[in-house]
Amino acid sequence: MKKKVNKTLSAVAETLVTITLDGREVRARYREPVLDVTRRYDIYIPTLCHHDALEPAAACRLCVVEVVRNGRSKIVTACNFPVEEGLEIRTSTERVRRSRRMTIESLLARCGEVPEIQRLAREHGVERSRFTAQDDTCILCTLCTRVCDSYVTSAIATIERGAKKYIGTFGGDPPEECVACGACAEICPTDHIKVQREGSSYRIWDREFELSLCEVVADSCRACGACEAACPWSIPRVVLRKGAAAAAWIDPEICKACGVCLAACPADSIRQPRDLRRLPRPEGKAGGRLLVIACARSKLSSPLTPELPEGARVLELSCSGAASHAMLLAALAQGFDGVLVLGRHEASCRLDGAESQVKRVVQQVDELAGLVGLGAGRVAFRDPAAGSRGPAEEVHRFAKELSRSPLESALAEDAWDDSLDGALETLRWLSGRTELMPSGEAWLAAHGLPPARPGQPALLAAAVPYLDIALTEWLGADSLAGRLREALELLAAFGIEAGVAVGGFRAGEPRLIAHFPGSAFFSLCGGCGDRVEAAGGVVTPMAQLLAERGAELGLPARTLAVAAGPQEAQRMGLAGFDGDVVEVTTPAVQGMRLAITSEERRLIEARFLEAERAGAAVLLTSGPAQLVQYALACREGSWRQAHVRPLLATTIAAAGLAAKGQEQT
Amino acid sequence: MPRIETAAALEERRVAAKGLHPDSARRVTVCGGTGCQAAGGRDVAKAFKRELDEQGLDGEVEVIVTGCHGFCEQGPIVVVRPDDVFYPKVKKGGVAEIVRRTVASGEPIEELLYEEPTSGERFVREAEIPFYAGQQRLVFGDSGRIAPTRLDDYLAIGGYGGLRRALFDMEPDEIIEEITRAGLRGRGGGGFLTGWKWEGCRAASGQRKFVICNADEGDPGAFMDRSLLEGNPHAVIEGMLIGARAIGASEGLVYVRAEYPLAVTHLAAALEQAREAGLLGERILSSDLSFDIRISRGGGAFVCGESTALMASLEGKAGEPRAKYVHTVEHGLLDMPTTLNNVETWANVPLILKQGAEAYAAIGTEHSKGTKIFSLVGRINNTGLVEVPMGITLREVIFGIGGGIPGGRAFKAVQTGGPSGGCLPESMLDLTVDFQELTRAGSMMGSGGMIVMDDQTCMVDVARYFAHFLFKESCGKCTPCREGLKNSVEILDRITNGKGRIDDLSLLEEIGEWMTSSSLCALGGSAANPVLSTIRHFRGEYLAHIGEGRCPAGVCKALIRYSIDAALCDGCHACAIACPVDVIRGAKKEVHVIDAEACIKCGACLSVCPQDAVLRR
Repeated sequence: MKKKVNKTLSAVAETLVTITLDGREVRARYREPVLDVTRRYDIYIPTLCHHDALEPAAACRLCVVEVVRNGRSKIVTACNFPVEEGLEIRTSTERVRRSRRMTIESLLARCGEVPEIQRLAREHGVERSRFTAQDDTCILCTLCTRVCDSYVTSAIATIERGAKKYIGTFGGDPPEECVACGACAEICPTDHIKVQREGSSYRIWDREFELSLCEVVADSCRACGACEAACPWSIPRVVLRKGAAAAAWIDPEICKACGVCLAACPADSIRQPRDLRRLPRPEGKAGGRLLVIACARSKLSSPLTPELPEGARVLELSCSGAASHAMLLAALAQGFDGVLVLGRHEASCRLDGAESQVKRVVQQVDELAGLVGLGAGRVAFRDPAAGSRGPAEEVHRFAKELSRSPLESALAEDAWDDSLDGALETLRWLSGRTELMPSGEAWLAAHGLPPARPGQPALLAAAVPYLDIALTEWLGADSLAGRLREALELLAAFGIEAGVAVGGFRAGEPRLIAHFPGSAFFSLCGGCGDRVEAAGGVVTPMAQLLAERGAELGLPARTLAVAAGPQEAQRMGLAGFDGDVVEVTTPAVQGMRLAITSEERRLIEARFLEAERAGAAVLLTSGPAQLVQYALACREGSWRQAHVRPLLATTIAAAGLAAKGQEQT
Repeated sequence: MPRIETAAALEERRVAAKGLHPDSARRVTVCGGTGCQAAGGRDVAKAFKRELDEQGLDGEVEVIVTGCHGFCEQGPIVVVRPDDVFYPKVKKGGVAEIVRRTVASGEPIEELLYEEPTSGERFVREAEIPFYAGQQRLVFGDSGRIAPTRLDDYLAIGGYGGLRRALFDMEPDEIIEEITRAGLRGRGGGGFLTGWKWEGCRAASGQRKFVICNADEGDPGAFMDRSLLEGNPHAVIEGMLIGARAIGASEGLVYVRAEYPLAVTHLAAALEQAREAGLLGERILSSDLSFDIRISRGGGAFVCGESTALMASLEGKAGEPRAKYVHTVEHGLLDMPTTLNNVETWANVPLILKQGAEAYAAIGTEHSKGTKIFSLVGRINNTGLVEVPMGITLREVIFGIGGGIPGGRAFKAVQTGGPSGGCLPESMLDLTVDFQELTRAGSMMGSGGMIVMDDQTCMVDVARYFAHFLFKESCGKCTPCREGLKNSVEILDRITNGKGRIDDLSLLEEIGEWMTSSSLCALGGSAANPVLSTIRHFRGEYLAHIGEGRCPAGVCKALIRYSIDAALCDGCHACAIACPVDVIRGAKKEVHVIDAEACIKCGACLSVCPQDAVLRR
């Protein structure tokens, strides 16, 4: 008698094995399911109860195949049978076909009207069923109960056993645990689970929910179209209104009430009926004040949920996708050491796609926080593991990471502006906190930029801690760091070896300049340029540099500057520029408001078109704020594409400074 | 009871226990099994205590209520020791005489002794009775001699000697080697080599390891495990301790079906005693084994006898099986390495360690070693629990030990293996009780149910009965079992109602093949066996139902007619009086007639007719 010893999983998990698949020798990972292998080799195996996001249930038995092992063959389910060395798999023998046909024939009797079953019947040559017909629509695949158990709240379950088994709720009552995420209805292959939708009422499992539909405040809407772009289903539309400016409109019949458009609106002009967006007060020990933003699927506000770390506060939104830049920054400003935004398995949520916006927002806010010196890693988006403990475990994990970097003091504001301007305000305030440790050096290192060295000409990047991140969003895949790198390359081409210094925005600090005696520096906004001159430095317009030496660098033959107005042009030193300047300024742009009217937008658009027709290849702006405005104004258009390059940094200055001692930034 | 701290102390206790209750002592053992209790065994025991007291013998003679004696047909059973005088069907009223004559003077009472029905012979000693003579009661025999919840009794018969050897004379791998060499195979139905299972679990890694005893015994007609737990719970505990030492577990669970309250009570009491004595808990007998056992009760589901469904139930989930492609010895309860064995399997373990693998393997066949306990029920004279060596023929069990079919009727079939098993006809009576042979014949050993059927059993009805049972017990998770049983039940109902169709048999066979190959667990995987084996061996009976609308055994109500033989009827009117629906007409002294359309086929008339004039066909 041979002794058989089962090797433990961990020891052999990554081994590759050789198996035979329908007569062909292939390689596979030890103990991976047969179904994964067949998919890799494009062999079709029908399934009903299988879903990539869920553990296999092997309940429907449709995916059966024949395997031969040690000379013995048997029928197994492909979705969970683990392969091993020397296994022979036959996916389409007569025995396999007979079994699949019987399965389908039985289901055809049980659920004869279900399209998916009819399709399978046709596919497998089952014309009719010899068994007594029932008019059920549920095939008991348990995809619904399993997705609810894994990713939501276990609101539904199978009741009874055997042929009497059915999907139901505790006591047959409308389920208290249900959060109307719609995962069960989405995942059901036979359309058995019915959802009734009428206006803002959403009815499932006999329970009625009131959806938080999004509504546009037409008068303050800027018709920028950001909401339409953000909505996963493009439900908001900018429409013309009789006797009034165009504004966005959201159809209440189809709005899915996720709130993503609300987060994307730069003008704070979208509302949901319930005021979900009140930030809780941060409490607890320094380093442990954590805001968790989640939807009801994470079940964090339930008293039955595993305990959260002390100091964690939960903000439950209709969807985590509704978290905005302004909200996350406000949380940091109000004293939370960190913000954790929780996803909950996008693919099985009826709001699929709604999470993707907030993932970008979180990344951007995290970079911004780093930019103003708060350090990276305070804001994160995580997708918890399946299961009811997943979200709470994720919160604990994040709390541990956070506890290493406490933030002190806070902005004690209850109300905060949920718009882009509001976000900028908060950012400005955050960057002005003298007690916040500047982490400029870390920021430089993280972005692959050279460290600032005394005596080197410097770029003062964070002098304007703007929503550079917004640039990333609206202009393409570039970033402040990218811009700075470009500027450095440009300067290098001109023979100027420069470095970048990143620091907080500290008004009236001549020592910033004195740190680099004798150096040339790039100023990014007019304000800094003034201070440079006041400190005895010299400002050289970028445009001039381009004009003089641009040809040598292979820049476009005709380089045009697009200025923001006469004042701006002067500031940028465009007066002596040898090129064509096309002005695209408007009062909005001049006023540096990010929320611009549709009228203003049309004007800007027209001017851009003019500039393009005139052959403009470069857009020079004095600061990121202007760039953002232009981005908002013109969402489409060739200037956003490759051949018109926006450039930040409008002036170069050489500071001939007397030594004022080596002072720290 | 003071703690037993060491192996030496254990032996001292054993000696003391033997001294307290030596084999030579006079003792009255009254069977305390559920069956005998239901027949009045408790009252008999009380009567004995009273009588002994009254006759002044209470100081010298002990009355103990023991575990099951196995001869359930003859309960309440009393055996007077040490001579082992066997008294069946004891009544309260007969106790005084037994005490006076047998207990006091050693004289057997002829009229009260067991009488073999066919020969009329009387037997004095338990072991001589044909029912017992043909058996080899190695595992079950002790139940009839001990008070199940008295640790000293178990010690006196050598109990926990196997544990001592396992803890101090053997290494874990040596224990497993011994169990493997002995050839012990699972007694719960799977028949898997126990040594291999333990080896697999020992080699697996996990933070916790579990040892589980499957006491969910759900097969209709099976009660071996119940009686073992009721009658000798310490044997099971000792087996689990040895297993825990072998695989490295510190936690044990017994999952016992809710319908066995006496087994739970006795097991709980035995566990408590073992804990008090230090045979369960921390550092047992000062070894490095720490182990304890908890009892968990089922909730009335046959499917929870399936190992993975059982574990799901233990975890608080619905009892639904899962695929066993990754074995439970690696990932079982709470995903940890788990060894699950049947009650009888565990009870065999101390035996093997006490007598050694060679002695154990000397019994049985090449592939099936040791003995097996069967519940012999149905149309059989000697209903009860029998323990026979593997390799004995079915004929010997049924006609030798079982005493044949009552009423002199003809043997028709025997079903082995419960609802998962098949029916074997007379032509197969010389098959031996052996895992391989029974499976090859289309049945299986199963957990040990053996249901005997005579010519008044309709095999189609038997298939229908088991299909219904499994249909109700199916968990419903997988399509073949759930839908296959539903459709099979429908077809079998139709056939027994006289509405069978020509292609019903081939359809049943097709469904059967599908269920067997593609079900998720063994419930569905073996559910077709009753149907398929009866179609195979009793096809004619099916064809009679379908083609002729006739039930040869006279069972299927829709297909039988009750009528009165005019030649025999004397018009006594007894049938008409007995008829609950008043459908028999006839004047006194004249031939009576049954209205066949209105007759509900209850059979009352047949049972009261003094002339045997009622015909059923």
